[in-house]
Amino acid sequence: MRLKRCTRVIIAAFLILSSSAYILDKPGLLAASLSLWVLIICRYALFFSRLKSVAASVQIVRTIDKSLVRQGMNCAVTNRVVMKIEEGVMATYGEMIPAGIFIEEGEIRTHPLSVGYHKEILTYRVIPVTHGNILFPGGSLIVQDPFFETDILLSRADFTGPVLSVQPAPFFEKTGKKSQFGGVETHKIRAQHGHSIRTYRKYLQDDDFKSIDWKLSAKHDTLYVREYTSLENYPPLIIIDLPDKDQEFDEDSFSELIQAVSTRIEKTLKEGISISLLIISGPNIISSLYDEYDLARYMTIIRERLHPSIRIHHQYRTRLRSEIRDDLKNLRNQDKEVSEENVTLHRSLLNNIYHHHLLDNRRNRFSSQISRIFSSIRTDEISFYSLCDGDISYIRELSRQSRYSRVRFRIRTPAGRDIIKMKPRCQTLRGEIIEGLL
Amino acid sequence: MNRFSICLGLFIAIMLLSMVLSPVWYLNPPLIGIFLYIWHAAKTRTELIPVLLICGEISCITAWYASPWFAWIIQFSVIGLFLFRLNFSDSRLERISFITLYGALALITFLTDQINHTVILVILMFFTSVVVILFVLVSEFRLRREYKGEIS
Repeated sequence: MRLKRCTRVIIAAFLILSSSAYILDKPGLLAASLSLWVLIICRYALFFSRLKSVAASVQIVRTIDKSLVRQGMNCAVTNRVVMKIEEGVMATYGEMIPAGIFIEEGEIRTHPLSVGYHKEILTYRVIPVTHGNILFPGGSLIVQDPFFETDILLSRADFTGPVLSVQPAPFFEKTGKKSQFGGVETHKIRAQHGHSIRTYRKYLQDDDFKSIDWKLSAKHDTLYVREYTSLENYPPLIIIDLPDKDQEFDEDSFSELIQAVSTRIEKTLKEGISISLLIISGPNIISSLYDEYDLARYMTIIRERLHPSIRIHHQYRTRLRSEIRDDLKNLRNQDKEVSEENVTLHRSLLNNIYHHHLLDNRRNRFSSQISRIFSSIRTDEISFYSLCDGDISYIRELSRQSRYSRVRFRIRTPAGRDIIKMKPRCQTLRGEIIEGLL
Repeated sequence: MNRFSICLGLFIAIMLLSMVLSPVWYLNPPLIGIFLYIWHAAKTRTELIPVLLICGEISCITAWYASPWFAWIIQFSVIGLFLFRLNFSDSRLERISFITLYGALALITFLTDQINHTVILVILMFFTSVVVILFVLVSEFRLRREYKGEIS
């Protein structure tokens, strides 16, 4: 229970008057202090009876649109609250949000309600970040009058529920046989073709007459057509790394980053070059748009998607396999030296851990997705826009994959090259091309 | 005449009457003036409402010198003005609360008029306050537990 300022003043006056009555031995002072004391007690008794009446009148019916969702997908919650409020008090109902759930949008608290019978509907969207069965734990009721304020947690069985089942979003790829047949069939027809002739072949029904090589056809007395090479565009790939919603980040730097990305996209599209855009948040892929010319679509994505995002998965400073292999080699070299027993034991333990880790060939989902993206969209440059905050294992993974695909990888960050001095964790990006935002 | 006018009129009348009998009569006019000023200011600045009550209680103490029952009537008017200013409604529960409060104040006035020394009573009052606070805490705790589902 909390005392309002009015009550605190009255209690202070009561204490002063009663102390004065004790010291000065005046019945008048005692009577005055007793009157304040009785006033407070009477008001509390009234408040308590109204509180009980309001709490007993609360009824809650909570529904969710999906009882089974995937980790990171949103779902809508609707809560119908009915309560009857006595005269002299005001009440507010607020939903209690279970751990592992983020509120995306909507209202979770009613405005202060005065006397009468109220039916309120609270509608909000949630994103579960952890997997499992999540029980909605109920709500809280705040009742106040000019003297007192208290809140009661409504977590009895009739106020809780329903249960939201959250399926985990896998971190590792499924292991299984890959296709045994090499090559991927594609039905892509390129609109433009080049000038070089790739090959000649016999005429098939529906071939374009303009591509018939008459000279060759006359020579062989059969119709032959020319097949030209196709022209292909290598759109630059822009990867934007959104900061973690749970962590603090520099909002000015993030605004600067968004501004730089918007300017880059607008400038490139004005030159008639298409762009591919990939939005990630740590090792989580949020959204993508490939080989697009429409500025309006990009601006819509920037407006709707470029905000701090919930990171379902984290890499926790994952080390590259090559680094682990180097460490393993160093350990084996150190084993040859004579050392104390506990040092030898420690090295042997590390050796086992690294060895088992290397034997585990599972790739995480992020690595596999990035690998597929890089192989499907052919590009010659990747610009990576990020604040480089926190763990940067995924940045190193992106850099490794681009090196493997022989694509130039540039990191663009507000601090530029100074990021290495400012953030110790970025020391490992020393060999990368790091630029400031233009 | 509305309830505010009645209470205010009662306050001024009793304070003026107590000037005749009270040895500290010179305190009454400034107290009336301060009270009226705070009453007027509290119409726009609600933070002065508790100050109005405190000023009223000080007026009761000065009226006590004339007669304890003058003090009781002044408490009646001052507490009434305080509660009316807080816009409490005229419900049955409020009326019962008023009657209980004023009945208790009358009893307190009668009993304190009979005593000469206040020392033991002040100690008794503090002790009772502690008991009341414990009772309040336990009641609230039980209510919270009931809605948490720990007790049926």
